[in-house]
Amino acid sequence: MLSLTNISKKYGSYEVLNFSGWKVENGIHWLKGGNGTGKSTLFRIISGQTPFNGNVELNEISLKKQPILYRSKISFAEAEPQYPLFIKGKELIGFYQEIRKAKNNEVEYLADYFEMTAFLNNKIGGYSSGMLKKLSLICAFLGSPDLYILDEPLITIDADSSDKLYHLIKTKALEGKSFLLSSHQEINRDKLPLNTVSQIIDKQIAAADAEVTDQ
Amino acid sequence: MLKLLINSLAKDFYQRHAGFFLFGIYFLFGIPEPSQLIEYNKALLLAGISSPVGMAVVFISWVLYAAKAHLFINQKLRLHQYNFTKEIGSREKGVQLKLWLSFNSVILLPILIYVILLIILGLKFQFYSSVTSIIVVFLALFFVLAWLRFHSMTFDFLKQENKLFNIQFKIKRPFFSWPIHYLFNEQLLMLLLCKIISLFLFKGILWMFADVGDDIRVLLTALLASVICHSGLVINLLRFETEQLNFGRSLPIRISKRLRNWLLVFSIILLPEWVLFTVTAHYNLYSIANGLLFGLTGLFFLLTLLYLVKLNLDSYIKSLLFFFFITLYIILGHYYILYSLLMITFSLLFYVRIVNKIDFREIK
Repeated sequence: MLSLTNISKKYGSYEVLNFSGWKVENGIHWLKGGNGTGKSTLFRIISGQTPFNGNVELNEISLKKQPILYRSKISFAEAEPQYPLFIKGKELIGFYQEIRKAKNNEVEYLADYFEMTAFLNNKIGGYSSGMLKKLSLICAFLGSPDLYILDEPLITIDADSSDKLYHLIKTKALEGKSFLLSSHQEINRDKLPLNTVSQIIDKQIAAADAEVTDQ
Repeated sequence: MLKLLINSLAKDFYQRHAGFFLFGIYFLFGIPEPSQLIEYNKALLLAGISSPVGMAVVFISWVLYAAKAHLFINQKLRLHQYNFTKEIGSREKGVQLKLWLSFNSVILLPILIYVILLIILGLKFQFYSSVTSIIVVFLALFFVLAWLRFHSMTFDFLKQENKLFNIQFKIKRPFFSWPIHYLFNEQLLMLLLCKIISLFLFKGILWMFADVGDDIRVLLTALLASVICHSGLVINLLRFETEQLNFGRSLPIRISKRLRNWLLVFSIILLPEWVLFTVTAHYNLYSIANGLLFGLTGLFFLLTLLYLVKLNLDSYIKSLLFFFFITLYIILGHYYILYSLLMITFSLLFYVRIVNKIDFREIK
């Protein structure tokens, strides 16, 4: 499904990633590891946010050759989302809805699901970090991409919201969608079965856990 | 602490307003023949102190400059990276005032140099009342700024939310217009001052070359001065794009649409200058077309420059200097149409082919 080949990425002279290949099949995949290991950089590469050397393909659609088509098949939620502070939550969602061609009832469902409906008429500048995270998750779940890339989706949200997120991921996975999750916190595998767990060691991606749960 | 403030706030202030200072240097040293340089500057200074109108113009300019500096620093101090300055509020009043007075002497340095020259000349030509008013106005500005800064550092937490410009939008704001709303919401005073200075310079150039008559080169030179005035605004717009609109990079938005958004934003920003240009050109279609193309090209090229130097402000200033003089000589040499076409083509191609290969995370 997702295939990365000959990837290297530098910030100035500092090399963050350098590996020959990584393939990810359909399912839910967790990339674990501490701060500064390159998880967010890898996710930004896969989501088309940052330039890199090498090739990234999703279902044989190349990010470099067909960037618009590729981006229409993925959805990315950043670890620390940043949006214009003066716009309202519903304006941001409206923008994503238009781009992702999502229906109104989908927006309403997700806003209710994450208990954000009451705050969507407020400016983003007044949101707490948890509300901002939930807003980014609502935006990420709009539309029907094939691969969801969620960078540190559990930080700043409360336990109830984490449970809701686990449930939503499981539901979408049952519909055939795939997930790449990064987290430095442990993911509760009773609540969210994982297909693979990987980690970045010395700029390379390696399997981190042989005892993964089959879905 | 003073050294830190100078290296951060003051340095940033001078870098962001490089276009403005660049134009000032050109106005003072670039316009006259080398042999007439001293006489020209002497005449300018005497025009300032020899009449009440001249003095009023000088004082208004100082107040505008001081207001711009004060608002710029206000804006910077609200950023998270300047949270360390909140510590200053814990020191005694005298220590704080002394610190801000010393800091003001750096920020107001261009005015201070001008004050010294005016005083020397005023005493030499016996304009004693002018000299007295210069000293009074400058010291008032100097101390008022320091007191305002002390007050905001110590009592800012008591401030009520300013709802003056807090307009509630009932209609949907299209994505392309978000940078414009950003300027109105978070950079309003900077935008207003940029526009005032831009229009002031535009009219100033027309006034300086009034004896030349209807020459499109004078109009384009005035427009060039206005474009250079927007150099700081373009930095802020690119920062807004890289920091707050970066999420759009992972969305399926065509590069042509991003490009169109920038051109729309620049067209809206430059609207007042274009109106003035059109009126001054007596609605001549050839001049208007040139003005539209040249203005849009100028702002878009400033953006291209920023991408090229990856938002490195030192390199940007050097490039601005080069851009200003090259453009000026090309206007004077009548090659403005070819120049505008080449520059806009280069900028468009650069945007389409290169911008996606620039790492925004490296732009700091």
